[in-house]
Amino acid sequence: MRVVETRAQSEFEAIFLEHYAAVLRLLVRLVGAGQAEELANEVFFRLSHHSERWLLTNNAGGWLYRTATRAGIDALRATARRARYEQAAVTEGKQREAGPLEDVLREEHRKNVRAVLSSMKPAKAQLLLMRSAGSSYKEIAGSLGVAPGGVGTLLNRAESEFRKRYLKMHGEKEKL
Amino acid sequence: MSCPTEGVLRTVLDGEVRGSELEAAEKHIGGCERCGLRLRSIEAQRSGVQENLAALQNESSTADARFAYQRFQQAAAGRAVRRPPMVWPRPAIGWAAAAVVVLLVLALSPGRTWAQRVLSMLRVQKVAVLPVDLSELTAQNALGHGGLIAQFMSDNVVITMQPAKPAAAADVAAAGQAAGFAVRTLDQLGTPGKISVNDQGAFQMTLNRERLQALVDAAGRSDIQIPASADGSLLAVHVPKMVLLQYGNCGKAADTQNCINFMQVPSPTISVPPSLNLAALAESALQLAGMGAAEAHTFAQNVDWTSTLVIPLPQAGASFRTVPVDGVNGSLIESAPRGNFVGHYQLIWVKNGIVYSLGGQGTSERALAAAESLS
Repeated sequence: MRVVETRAQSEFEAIFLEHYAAVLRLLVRLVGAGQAEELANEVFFRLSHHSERWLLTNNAGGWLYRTATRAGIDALRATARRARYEQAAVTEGKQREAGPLEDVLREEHRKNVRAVLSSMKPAKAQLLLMRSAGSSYKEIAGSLGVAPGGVGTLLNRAESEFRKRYLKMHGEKEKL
Repeated sequence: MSCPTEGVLRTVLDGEVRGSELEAAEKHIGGCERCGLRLRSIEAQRSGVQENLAALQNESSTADARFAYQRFQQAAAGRAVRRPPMVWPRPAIGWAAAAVVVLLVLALSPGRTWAQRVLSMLRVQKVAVLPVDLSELTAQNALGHGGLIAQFMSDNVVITMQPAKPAAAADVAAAGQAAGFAVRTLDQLGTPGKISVNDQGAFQMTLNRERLQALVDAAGRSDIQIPASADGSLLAVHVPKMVLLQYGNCGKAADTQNCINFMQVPSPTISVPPSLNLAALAESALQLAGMGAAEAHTFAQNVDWTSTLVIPLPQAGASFRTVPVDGVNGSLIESAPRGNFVGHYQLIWVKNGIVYSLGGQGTSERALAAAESLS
C-alpha cells in the first residue's frame, strides 16, 4: 500500500509540475492574479483525490483545464452575486480614486471581458482562454477531447458567441 | 476544390494547416471572391475578440511550478489530503443500484403522454450501458456516503413499501411460488447451492428544482440548468420480488471465482407525471455524469427512455459489449483482472418482462456457457 501511495504521489507531482504554470495562466486571465493562485491550488487539491490508476489512465491535463475554467467561472459568478448586495456606487467611487484613469479603464475592461466569459458555457470559455494563451489546436483538442480538425469551427462559434454577448452586456460602444 | 468550410478557413488563418492542404486552400481563396470575404469576416471577428481577451494577460503571476508544489504540499497537509481506497469500477447492479440510477440519470422520458392526468407507467424492456466519467463528482465528494447526492436522497426519498429481509427457499418451485413468476435455472451448473427471495419494495421521490440546482452547483457544474418542469414532480418506483440463485462456492472461502449469482426480477415500474420533461432532465443528468453537452443532447434524444434502463458505467478499467443470450441481446460488463483483483463480470438482459442478471468474479466464459443451458 505504501508503494502504491508513493507511486501515486510521484505521478501527481509530475502532473502538477507539467500543468501548474498553464493552469495558473488560464486562471489569471479568468479571475485575475489575486484569486488565481488560490483557485489553482484548489483545483490541484481536487486532483489529489484521484487514485494513481485514474491519474495514469485519464487525460489529467484536460481535466485540470476543464475544472480550472469551471472553478474560475464559479468564482466570477459568486463575486458578481456578492457585488449585487454591496454598495456598488461607493465601491466604484473608491476605485476611481485609487489610480490613474487609464488603470481604472483597463480594470473596467477586464471586468467586462470576465463577465462575458462567466456567462458562457465553461467549455467555450476554456477554448477562448486557451487559444488566447497561445495553446495550439492539438493542445486544445487534447484538453477538450475533440478532434484537432474541429477546433477551428469551435473557435469561430465561441468567438461569435463572445461577440454577441459582449455587445449585449456592454453595448455597441465597445469595439469588437 | 469546392469552397472550404469556415472551420478550414479559420485553420488557415491560425496557421494550423500546412503543406499541400494549405497550398490548395490558399489557391482557392485567392481565386474565390466569396471565400475571400468570408476569410476577412472571420479574421475581423477573431481580431476583435482576441483583442479583448488580450486585456486579461497584463496581470503578472508567479509560475514557478516547483516552488508552487512545495507550497501546495504544505497547504494540503493542513487539509488532511486522503486518497480514497482502491475501488475497482463495478457496474451498478441490483435494484438498489437501479434506484440510484433513476436518481442519478433520471433515465426516463415522457415520450408518450398516454393519459392527461394519470401517471405514466414505465417498464424496463431493455438495458443500455452508458460509459460515464464520474471523476469530477467523485472529486467533489458528491457520490460517497454523506456526499451531496446521498444527502439529497435521504432528504427527498420516501420509502412507501419497506422490503422484509430476504427469505431462503427450499427449491426453485418454492421460490417461484413465493415470488409469483416462473423461476429459470442454469442446468449446466446443476442444483443451486442457495436460493433466496428478496421482498418487494417501493419508494417515492418529489423533485425540488431549487434543491437539484443547488446540488448541481455544489458539484461545480453551475453551467447545467435543471429544467423548470422538474419542480414538484413525483417519481414513484416499485421493485417486485426478486429471486437470487447462487451456483458454486459462494461463501467466504477462497474460491470465489467459482461462484455465479443468477438474479431474476419482473421489471420494476416507474411512475412519472406526463407533464415532466424528463428528456431535458436526463440531458442535465448526463452532463452531470461527465458527458459533453452535445453528446448528452444526442443521447437523450435517441434513447427510448420509456423502456430502457440505463446503467452508468465508470470508464476506467471496465468495458462492455453486446452478446447474444437467451434469444435476445444482453449487455456484458467486464472489469479486467489487475493485481490482486481477479476481475468481475455482469451479464444483464431482459426477456418477456423479466430482467435477468448473471454475475460473478473472474472471467465471464463459464457464465456465458452456462447461459446457453437456461431452462
